[in-house]
Amino acid sequence: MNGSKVWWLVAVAVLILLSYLVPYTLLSGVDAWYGSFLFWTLVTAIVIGINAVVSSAWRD
Amino acid sequence: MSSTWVWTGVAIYVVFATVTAYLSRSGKSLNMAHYFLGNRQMGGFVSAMSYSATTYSAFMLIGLAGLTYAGGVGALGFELIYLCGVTLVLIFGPRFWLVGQRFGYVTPSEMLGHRYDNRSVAVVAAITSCVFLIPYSAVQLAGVGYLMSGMTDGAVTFTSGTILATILAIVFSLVAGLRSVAWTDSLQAIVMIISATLVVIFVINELGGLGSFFGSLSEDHPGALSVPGNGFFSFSTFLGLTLPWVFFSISNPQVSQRLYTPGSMRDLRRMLLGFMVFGFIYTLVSVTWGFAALLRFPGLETGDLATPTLLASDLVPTVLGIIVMIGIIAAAVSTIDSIMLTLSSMLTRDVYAVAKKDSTEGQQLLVGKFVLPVIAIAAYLFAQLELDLIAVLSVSASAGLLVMVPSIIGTFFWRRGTAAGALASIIVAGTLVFFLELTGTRFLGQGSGVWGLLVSVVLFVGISLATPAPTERATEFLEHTREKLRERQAV
Repeated sequence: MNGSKVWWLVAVAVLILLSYLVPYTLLSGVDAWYGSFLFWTLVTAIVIGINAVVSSAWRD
Repeated sequence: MSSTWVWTGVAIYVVFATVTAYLSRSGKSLNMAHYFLGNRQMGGFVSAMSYSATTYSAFMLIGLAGLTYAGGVGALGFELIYLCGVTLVLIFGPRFWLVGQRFGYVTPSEMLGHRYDNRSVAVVAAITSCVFLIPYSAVQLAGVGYLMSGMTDGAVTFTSGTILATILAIVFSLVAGLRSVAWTDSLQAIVMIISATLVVIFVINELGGLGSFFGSLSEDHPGALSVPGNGFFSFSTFLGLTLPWVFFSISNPQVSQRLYTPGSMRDLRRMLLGFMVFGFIYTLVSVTWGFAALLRFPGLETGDLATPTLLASDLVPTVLGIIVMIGIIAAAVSTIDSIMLTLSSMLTRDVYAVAKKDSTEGQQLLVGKFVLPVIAIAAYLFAQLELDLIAVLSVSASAGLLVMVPSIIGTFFWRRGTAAGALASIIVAGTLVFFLELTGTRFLGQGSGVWGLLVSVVLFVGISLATPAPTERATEFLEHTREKLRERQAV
C-alpha cells in the first residue's frame, strides 16, 4: 500500500470511530440541527470526498 | 388510494420496465460471466444506479423513515455509518475486480474456494448465503403484498401483490441476466431519487420551511435530534445495528459480486462514487420523511406507518404519492431480482459445478437459468407461509453474513489463512448467530452480529494458525494482486 493513501484510509477509520463516540458524548445534550445531525452529515460528506481523492489515482 | 390508481401506476411501471429489460439485451449469453456479470463490461453509471437499487430495498423508505419516527436522529447516524463503511470498496473493489479478471471468478464464494484451495469453502459460503438471503427475499416479497393491500385498503390482496413482485423479479432477471436487472434497477433508482426528493421539498415547504421544521422538532419532540434521545438508540442498540452494516459491502454477495462487473477501473470508480452520492441523498430524504411524519402525525401506532401515512396525506400531491409508492414496490423487486441472480450463480457455480465436475459453461448457464425461478418460487412460498422462522432468518441476514467477513479479509490480507479456519468460522459463527436470533438472546446486552463477528474472527485466526496454509495458491494470488494494484495505482 502506498503511504499517503494509507493515511487517507486511517482518516476514514478515525471518522467512523468518531461517529460512534462524539454523538454519544459531546453532542448528546445538543438537541438541535447543529448537533449530531450536522456532525454525521459532515463526516459523511468528508468520507465521500476522501473516496473521490483516493480513487482519482486509479489507472486503467 | 383507489385500486384503479394503483393498478394504473403498476401497469405503467411494468410496461416501462419490461421495455427497458428487453432493450438491455446484448447478444446471446453463452457463458456464465456474460449472463451473470454482464460480460464484465458494465458501464459506471448503470453500475452505480443498479448498486444503489440493489442495496436500498423497499424498506429503506419505510424502515429508515420508521426508525427515525421511533428513535430520532440515531437512524441517520446508523445509515450514514453504513455509507462511510462503503469506503471498504476503495480497498476491496480493485482487489475483487483484478482477481476476477485474472482468475475468471463469477461469484465471491468461488473466489474464497479458489484462494483457500478448497472447494468446500465455496460450497459452504454459497449455502450460507442462501440460508440467510432467500428468507430475506421472502420478507421483501411479503412487504410488496402488505404495501399494495395497505395502499388500496385491501382491494388488491396480499397474494396478488406478492405474485406480481415474484413474476416481475423472474422476468427482469431472465430476459438478459445482469444486464436486464441492472437497467431496470437504474430506471427505478432514477425515478425514485427524483420523486422522493420532490416529496421532501413539498413537505418541508408545507411545514413552513427548513428553519421552522427543525425548530418544531426541537420544541415538540425533545430528544429527536440527539442520541440516545428518547432512549430508543441506546449505545448497544446502535452498535448492534450498525456493525453488520459497516461490512455490508463485502459481506453481502449480491453487492460484492458487482465488484467483478465494471468494464474498467474508471467504471469501478464511477460505481463507487455514484453510489455514495446516491446513498447520501437517499438517506437524508428518508430521515426527513420520518421527521416530517413525527411532526405532522405524532400518534402513529408504529414507525412503519410513517411513510404510508405521509404519502397518503395532503402534504404530498396525489400523483407524486402514487409514483413514490410504485417506486417502493419497484425497489423491492430490484433488490429481490439481484439477490436471485446472485444466489442462482452461486448454486450453479459453487454447488452444481462442484458436484458435476465435468460440466461445461453452457450446462452451468442452463442450470442457472432453471434455478432462478426456483429460487423466486421458494421465496414466494416462504412469503405465503409467514413463518416466524423466516422473519428470524431475514432479520439476522446482515448479522449472519457478517461471519464471512474474516475469511474475505483474509483472502487478500493474510497469507496464513486456511480452508479449515474459513470453514469453522463460517459454520460455527453462522450457527451461533442463528440461535441467538431464534431465542432472542442478547449476551451482555450486545446483538448477535457483535458475537458472530467476534467468534468468527477467533476461529478463523486460531484454526488457521493450527493448520497448514495453501502456500502456493496464496503466493500466486497475493503476488498477482500486489503487482496489479501497483500498476493501477490503487491502495
